[in-house]
Amino acid sequence: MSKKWIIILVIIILLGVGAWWYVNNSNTTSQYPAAQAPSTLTPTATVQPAPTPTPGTPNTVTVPASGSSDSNLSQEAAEVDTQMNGLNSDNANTDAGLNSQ
Amino acid sequence: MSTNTIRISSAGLATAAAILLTALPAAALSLGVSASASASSSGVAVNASASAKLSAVITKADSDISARITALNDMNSRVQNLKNVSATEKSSIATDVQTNSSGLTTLQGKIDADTGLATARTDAQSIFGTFRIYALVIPQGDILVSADRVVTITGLMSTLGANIQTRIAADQAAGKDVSALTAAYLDMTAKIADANTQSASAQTSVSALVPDQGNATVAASNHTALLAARADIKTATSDLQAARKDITTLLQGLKSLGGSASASSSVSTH
Repeated sequence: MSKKWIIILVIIILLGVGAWWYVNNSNTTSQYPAAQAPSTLTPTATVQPAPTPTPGTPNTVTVPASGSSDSNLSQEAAEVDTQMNGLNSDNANTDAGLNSQ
Repeated sequence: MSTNTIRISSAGLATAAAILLTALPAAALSLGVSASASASSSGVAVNASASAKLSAVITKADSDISARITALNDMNSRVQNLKNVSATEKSSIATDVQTNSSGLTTLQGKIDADTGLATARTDAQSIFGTFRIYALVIPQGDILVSADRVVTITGLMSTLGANIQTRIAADQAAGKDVSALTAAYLDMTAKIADANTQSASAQTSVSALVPDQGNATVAASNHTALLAARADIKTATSDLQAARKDITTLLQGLKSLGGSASASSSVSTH
């Protein structure tokens, strides 16, 4: 089998897996549980990055309560899941490139 | 044998000889023309065949070069949009892409102007041998993109982790048992740290690679470095998946202990 056919075969397989993934995730939204959490979010929930200690200052930082609320934690976890799915796509691209050599 | 018979025979032979002498040059001429025409026809066929092959080589080379330039530009766009890669590294990638694109464009012009099949074939081979777009440059960019994504995720996880730590501290202050949560939190931070280490290693491995210019030893070492960097990214991905499981454990644990976040307007973390 020529190299070109192997590449075409890999692309077809990737498209198939992608379609399967899309269909599956249209029902379950994500393989990561927190990505399904929007139903638990309150409408006023906002993402607030947690303050990080600055060197040379006391290691005591006042954190707004909303930053550690259940809804905020779920929202941040959902953002992690979005990026994790992106990483899986990036890795698939890398593998396809390396395997085609 | 009589004299008449001899005369008749002589006359017959003379006639036959005359006919032969007349006919042979004509036949020879006819054969010569035929051979010449055949050779000429064959020559035209050979030329047409060579021309078709040359055209095919040029068309294929043009297509290969265009595909590589497109892939380079796509990859460069992705790299320039990365969040965690330094400006110096982005600039280095952009320069590499520009150098390769220019080289490929110049090569395309040469191949398009080639009139000899052998020369065109040799030039077309250099698309693969000299530039190594798919063998090196694109995988290099892909790994940088993945490494950048790992750092983005660890940043998000660290932010989330800080908020989780706040909740754990609040629950601990309230006298609740947070030992399981603390263990999960520590595991999560360890995994995040290792993911960052692996990502940095992958970036370092691929950043210094250079095209092999046909040198088999350099090509092999480049390939090895790419595979090593890919392995680093795989490890980082596994770390992040483990950290994500810890996060699930932590979120469920915090919920089961009962929320403290809404109880006050602010809490302190140490």
